Amino acid sequence: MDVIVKPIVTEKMTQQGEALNRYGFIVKDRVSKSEIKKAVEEMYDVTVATVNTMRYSGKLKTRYTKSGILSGRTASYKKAIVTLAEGDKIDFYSNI
Amino acid sequence: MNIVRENIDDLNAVIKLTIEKDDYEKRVADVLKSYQKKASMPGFRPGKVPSGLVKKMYGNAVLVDEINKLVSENLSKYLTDNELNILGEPLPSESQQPIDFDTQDSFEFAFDIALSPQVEVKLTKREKIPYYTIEVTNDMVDGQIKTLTSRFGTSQNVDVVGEESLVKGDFVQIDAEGNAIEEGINAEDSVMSLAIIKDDKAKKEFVGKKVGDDIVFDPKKAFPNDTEISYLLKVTKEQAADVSGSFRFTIKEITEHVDPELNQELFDKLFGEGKVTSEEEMKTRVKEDMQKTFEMESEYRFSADAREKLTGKIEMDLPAEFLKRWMKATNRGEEQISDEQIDNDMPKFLEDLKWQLIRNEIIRTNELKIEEKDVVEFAKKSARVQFMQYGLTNLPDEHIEGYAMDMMKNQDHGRRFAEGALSEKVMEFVKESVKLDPKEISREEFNKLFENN
Repeated sequence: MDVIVKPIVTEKMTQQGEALNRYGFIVKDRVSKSEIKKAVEEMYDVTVATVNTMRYSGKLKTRYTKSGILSGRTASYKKAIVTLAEGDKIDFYSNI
Repeated sequence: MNIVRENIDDLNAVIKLTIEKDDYEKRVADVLKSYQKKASMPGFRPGKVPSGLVKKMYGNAVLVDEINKLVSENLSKYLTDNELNILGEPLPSESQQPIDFDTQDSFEFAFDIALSPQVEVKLTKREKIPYYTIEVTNDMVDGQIKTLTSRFGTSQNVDVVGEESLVKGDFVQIDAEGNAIEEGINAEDSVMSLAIIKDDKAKKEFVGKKVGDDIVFDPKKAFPNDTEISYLLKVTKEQAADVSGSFRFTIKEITEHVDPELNQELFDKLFGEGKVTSEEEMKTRVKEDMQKTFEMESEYRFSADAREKLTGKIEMDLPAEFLKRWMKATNRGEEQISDEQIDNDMPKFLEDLKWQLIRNEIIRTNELKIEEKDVVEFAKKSARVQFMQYGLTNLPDEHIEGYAMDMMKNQDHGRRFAEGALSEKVMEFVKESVKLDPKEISREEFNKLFENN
């Protein structure tokens, strides 16, 4: 089963990666911390110390157009902040 | 970090330097961090480039750079800490393993060094070094006075041509019968000096002639040089080469150079107001000046002699092979010199080096030191010499001092002056510690001394 949807590549997460060795991922909604740990360890060949997760609900989006009001909702997702064991590293920029 | 020295023989040694990861890691990281703060890359805001990327881009260059710095720092520190007197500079050893900065964590460097041999300089009164002084003869003084005064001479019109007169007149080319050739060369108002006429016969013709007289002569014979002919006849050089036959010269004007009168006015002009009042005084003054200049030459000769004597007397071994390599390495830049050239230059270079070592030893053992004022003194002296070359012998002191100070502002000059002052000190010391063998010789003999070397 797929666990990781995509890594979060932002300035904020880059900074945290360098300073605190923490990396963020968007993960599937229904996976547990232990599953995330396992998936990250396998994918990046590192040791994971802790995993923190949080669930974001999708936002309501309303647009006012000529043909009436369009309203909908963005997708909700689960975010995992993975702290690696000291010395380990994930390089998201290795293929640039 | 680990430094070991292995002596090969008395003069050669290898320094082995091992650098571990711990030694350079922090320095490299620091440099990379400062790079990261400044780096700007497309896709990132300036200063927000991930450290991994910076490392990938600059990491190796920084690593090489830092290791290079580390090596040279430690090497020179080692050399000064252990008080090793080396010749030239450390060179990478030929046995050096190639280094792969990508994969290796610890690096080993080997350097060849050459140690300077032990030198012992003993100067005693038993050593005899000739000290030549140049005799100033009356002829030389007279000659010098003549060149000095002739600058203030005047030209005067005279009636009769003398041995060294300047004559002005017209040239007309003539045929065998003495008639002017119609299409021939005519030149008006040519000026020639009798002193440069090479043909004695033609010269005699001129002497004693007056304004308005005609002289017939062959310029080709009188002036073997085509340039002079072209100037006199006002033709091109090519034409001058083809000129033949006789010319008639009509004298229009005769001038003669007259030496100025030796009077107070002239003395003032030459030596400054009121310094010299009679001819006798002028002679002594000129003689003194000449002695002063000759003294410098004597000093120079003495230093050359002393140097030769000392280098000849003191034996030492020098690591010639290493020095050859070093010379080649230092000259690698703009113009490579060939092995042959090095071989040719080597004996001279070794000789120079030997003298350098002896000099340093003299300085070290006798604690010779130069001070600011020595350097200034030397700078003033060389400034004075420079002015003397232009014929300015009696400049006021403050003027020379100002000029010397100006020259010393230039770093290059400053160093040269310091070097010169030190050499002078060494020579003074040598002069005091050995026995001088004073000899007075004539100018010609003195010049001959230099021909031999």
